[in-house]
Amino acid sequence: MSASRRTLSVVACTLLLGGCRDAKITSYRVPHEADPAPVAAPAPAAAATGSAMAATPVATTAGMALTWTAPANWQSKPATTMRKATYTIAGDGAEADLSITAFPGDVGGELANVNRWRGQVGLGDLTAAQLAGATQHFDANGLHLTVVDYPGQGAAAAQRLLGAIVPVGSETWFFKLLGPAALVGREREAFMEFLKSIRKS
Amino acid sequence: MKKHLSLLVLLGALATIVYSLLPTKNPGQFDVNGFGRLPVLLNGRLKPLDTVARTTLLQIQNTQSVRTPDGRSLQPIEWLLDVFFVPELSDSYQVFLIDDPDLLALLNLRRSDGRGNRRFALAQFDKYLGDLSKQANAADNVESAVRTRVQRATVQLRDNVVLYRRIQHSLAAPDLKDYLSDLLNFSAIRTAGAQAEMAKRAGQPSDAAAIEKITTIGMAFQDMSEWANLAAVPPPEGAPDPNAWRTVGAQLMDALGGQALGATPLAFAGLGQTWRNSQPKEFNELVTRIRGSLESRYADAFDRGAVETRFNSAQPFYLGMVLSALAGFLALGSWVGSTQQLQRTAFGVVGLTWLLTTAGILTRMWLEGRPPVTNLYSSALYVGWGAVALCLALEYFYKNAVGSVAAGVIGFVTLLIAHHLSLTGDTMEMMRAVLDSNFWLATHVVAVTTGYSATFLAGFLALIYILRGFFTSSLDKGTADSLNRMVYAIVCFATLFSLVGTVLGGIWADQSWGRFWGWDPKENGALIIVLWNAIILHARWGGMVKARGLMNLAVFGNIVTAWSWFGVNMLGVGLHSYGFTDAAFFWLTTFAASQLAIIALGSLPLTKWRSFRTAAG
Amino acid sequence: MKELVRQFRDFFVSLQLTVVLLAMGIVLVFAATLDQTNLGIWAVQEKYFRSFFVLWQVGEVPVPVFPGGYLVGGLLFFNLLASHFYRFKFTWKKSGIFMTHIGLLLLLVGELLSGLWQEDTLLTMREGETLNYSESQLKNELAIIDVTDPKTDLVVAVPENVLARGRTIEHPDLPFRIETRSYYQNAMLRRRDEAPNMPPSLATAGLGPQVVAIPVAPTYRQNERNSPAAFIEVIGREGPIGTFLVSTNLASEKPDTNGMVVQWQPQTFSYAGRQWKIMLRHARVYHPFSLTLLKVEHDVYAGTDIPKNFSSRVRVNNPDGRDDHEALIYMNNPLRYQGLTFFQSQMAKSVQLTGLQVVSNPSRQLPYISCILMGVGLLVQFGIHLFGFLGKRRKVAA
Repeated sequence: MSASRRTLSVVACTLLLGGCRDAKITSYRVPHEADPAPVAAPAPAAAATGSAMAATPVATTAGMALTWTAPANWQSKPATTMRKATYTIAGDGAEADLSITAFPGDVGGELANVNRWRGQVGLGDLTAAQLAGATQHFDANGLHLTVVDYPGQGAAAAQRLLGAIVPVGSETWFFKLLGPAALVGREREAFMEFLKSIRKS
Repeated sequence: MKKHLSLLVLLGALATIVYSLLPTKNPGQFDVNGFGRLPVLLNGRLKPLDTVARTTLLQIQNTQSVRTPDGRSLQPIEWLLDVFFVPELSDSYQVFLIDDPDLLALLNLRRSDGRGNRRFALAQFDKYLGDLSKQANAADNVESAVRTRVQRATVQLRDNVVLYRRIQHSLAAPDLKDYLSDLLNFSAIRTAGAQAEMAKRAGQPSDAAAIEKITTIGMAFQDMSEWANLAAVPPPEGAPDPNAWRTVGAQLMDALGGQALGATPLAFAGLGQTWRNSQPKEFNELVTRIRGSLESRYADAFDRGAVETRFNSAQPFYLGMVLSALAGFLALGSWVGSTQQLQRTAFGVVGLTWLLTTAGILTRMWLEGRPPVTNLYSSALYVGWGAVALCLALEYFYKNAVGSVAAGVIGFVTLLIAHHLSLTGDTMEMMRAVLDSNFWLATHVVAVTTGYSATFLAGFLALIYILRGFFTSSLDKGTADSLNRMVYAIVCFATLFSLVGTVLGGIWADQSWGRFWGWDPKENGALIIVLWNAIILHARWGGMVKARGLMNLAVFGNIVTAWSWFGVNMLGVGLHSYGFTDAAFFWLTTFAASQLAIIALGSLPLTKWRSFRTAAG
Repeated sequence: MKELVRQFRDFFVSLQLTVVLLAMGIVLVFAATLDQTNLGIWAVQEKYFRSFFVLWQVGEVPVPVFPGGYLVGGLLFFNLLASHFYRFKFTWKKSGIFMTHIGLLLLLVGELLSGLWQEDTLLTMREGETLNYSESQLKNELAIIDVTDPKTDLVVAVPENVLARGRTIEHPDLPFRIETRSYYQNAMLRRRDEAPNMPPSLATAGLGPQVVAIPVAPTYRQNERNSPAAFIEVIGREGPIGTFLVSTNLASEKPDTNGMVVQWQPQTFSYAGRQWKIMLRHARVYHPFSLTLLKVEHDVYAGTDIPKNFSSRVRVNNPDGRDDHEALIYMNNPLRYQGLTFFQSQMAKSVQLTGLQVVSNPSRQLPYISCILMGVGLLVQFGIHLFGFLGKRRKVAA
């Protein structure tokens, strides 16, 4: 009796193992493949007539979490897995760069992120108590946006940073416009309009 | 006397059917029916405005009947005309279904303020639209399967209000008082506005009123172009794609940019003016003119539109539901009184009902250019139709009213289910690319759905066996034996169709995306039905079950089929949120529980059954 | 002993066993359907159907809780076969049942074979592009490629699960070994200068130091795919060459269906006088011919987003020079070529991108034959019943 049971268990084990196929390392030769050329940026969308805002909402990556409407003079760059989207704003022979990124979680909290941005334009860290006075808040389309506007200091004196931090579900989205102070100042209003156009898709 | 009575019932049923098919008369002097037959493009299909009116009403208030505050009853198309052209009036019609107590509280509505305690006018709650939209936006962030009851109701009402507003912006600008004259003078208004704006920019004195005027009109046009959901402007003659209809708003925005205004926006503005001002003669002439401009180019759409509006007003499936109930009662009566007469009358009514639903399904097929089953709604129609066809055959052979009772109840229930499924909008939808194959829709889908109807029928016959045998003494040996044979025959039939249908589905999958079987929920549902029917057959062949066991197995087949039909559609985001708040899920579990209760009943020893106890004693 | 054999045989040929197995099949299919919401369709197939037992993890130990698809299907197969040998007497009256059962046997064999043989890959290409390989939709591989020769690449492909197991990777074609330092089943990548408050990278070479990899929860949704990442150290005979960050997110070279483009150049290093490229990529299957995408079309119903038709016009190029023809692939109309079938699967019109599902299944004809056998069989059987029934009634009536 016990013998047959043992046989049975051996059979069962064999069957169980049979179900698990082991993958093997293989090697083969193929015709040489050239590395892909960097992909050219798509042509900017034609400026919409009569309106400062390009009409087409921009859909973002796989998650499709947020969409927005960007001014026509902001040139969209191909997105990467690093960034959800990138825009270049040209003027006075200089360029400002708007980067849009998303991270899981709250990535250290609002204070740490605001201080990281401040560091990028040569400003010192804030304390938790100072934070409220150095940020603005508004709600749009069911989203809560924390907005900062920091003119640069020291080595970054000619720079200005406009930023927004937007919690979306379990992620945090960062919108950062960094560039020459004059150019960023001119685009400030457009940037605020742009922020108001952000919505969940 | 009895014979005459039976003839009278049949004639009555026939007369009702014929009456429903008569062309509808215009309720007043306005040719609203002519207006209702004009085609518009919505959700990819050219459909008559009459269909838009009816499907919208079903969607927002679950019924097609409208009553004005002063008590007049409106046809759907009259309601739609008021929505288009007399918004201040149509906002006061109580056509929004609001049933949720928390939502009513949010909108500060009392039940007693509503028509039938549950239908309210937009004017009654438009003050609170801001709150509604805020709550609905919040609910949007919750996955639909885990929303609470009030969240579902909130989102639903918000969507209904949006739908209503979109239709309202489709043909005319609801916010412009002098819409027609604005359009007639549009070119002058536009030029004056542009000149004034130029002057203003140049710092010269300018006509502020002219700027104001063109701005107001421009904003109204923009609203229309953003909101309109009906595409009512046909492409210009000779355009490459005759289906590239546009919205009036889009046409108006082009006009704002300097292009020609076109005839259609003007014609609809004229209709609006004449409807508002009660000028039937001019209204009718405009309808004729619009019709004339389209009829030769869209002859097919008008032919179908004429049939579709007639089909809409006849409501054959609603009538079928009523007649099914009648047949069911007559047949039940024949058991109580055991009269041949009632039995034959019931059989006649079942036959008439079946012919009526056959005609309804054929009409839908012709309108869509598709096989009978294309979506859940049409599957409900077809399941009922197929089961009733089998019932007719059974009744023809056995003449014991069992077939008629089954036909009455199954016909009624499936048409009721279909009615509830129709509340989500137009039931003739376009087929997604992957499903766009009439050959496979006609073979695989029809075979599988036939399998559903047969499995349900077997289950229902078994139900009759158990209920009649347990609660009454009327299940004599002859009836019991014939029920036994019927269930067996229907299970065989069900096995054939579900098996062939399922395997055909595999072949379709192999043809379309290269794998015969992918274990996806819908495939699994069909497979389970096949397996269950195979179990019934093998259990019977192996002598593992006798009559009573067969009946219990067949009743369980009801649960299996209901799960495959509806349950797999509810497998949404995850088990943790298996849509417990969903009404469909509630009905599915209730149904399953009731069937289990009947199986429990059927498992009680025969000595407890009234029929067999008397037979034994 | 003879008695025992007879009992054994009776058990295997019994209808009771058939019914029990069918019931088990229902339970299995039902459970698998519900579990799809947790595991996704691929994992469910492995767990419930392509296994002998359904295993539950109790702590660290997998415990078999229910017979799996192979066991139920296999037993059903033997039950059917055996009962036809021992119990079932062929008569014309039962010819339909006989045919149905033969069809069922074929179907079971066919499902087993396609489970073992069928290979599903995806060929994603842009308009104008020519490709001679397709990619797995499920599996990834670490490719270490010797690119020294300007004509031919030598590829060593390491399956992801070997990488995940963390053992030393060695291969005769590689003059070095590879150790996995860290592995994430699903990770998102960000530029370090944009990534707030992250610990220093494990990577010492290639792109790794500029990038942070943030592990995220694995996804099981049908339309999503995990992007694994790993830090791997390449160690030569003389010592470490460098630690690289590899990720499928660093390997994609073309827009995905959302139009997103990745601009990373492959990571390379030299060792032993040869040039090496290293990447974690979707596992590839190379074909002895190539396809060129000429044109993609994507129609929707007027005024809606409901897709009406997708189609891809491709050219088949065979290096043997015998074959060079065009084909139009659209829904319900695949291209069949050299034992492979190319189905229209995904589409991104905005970036002129098409996704063709590539399937090889040598046993794909079996279901067709079994379908005909079963359908005709049941028709014959129930036809015999029906005519018998009608005949009897006619006699009674007469």
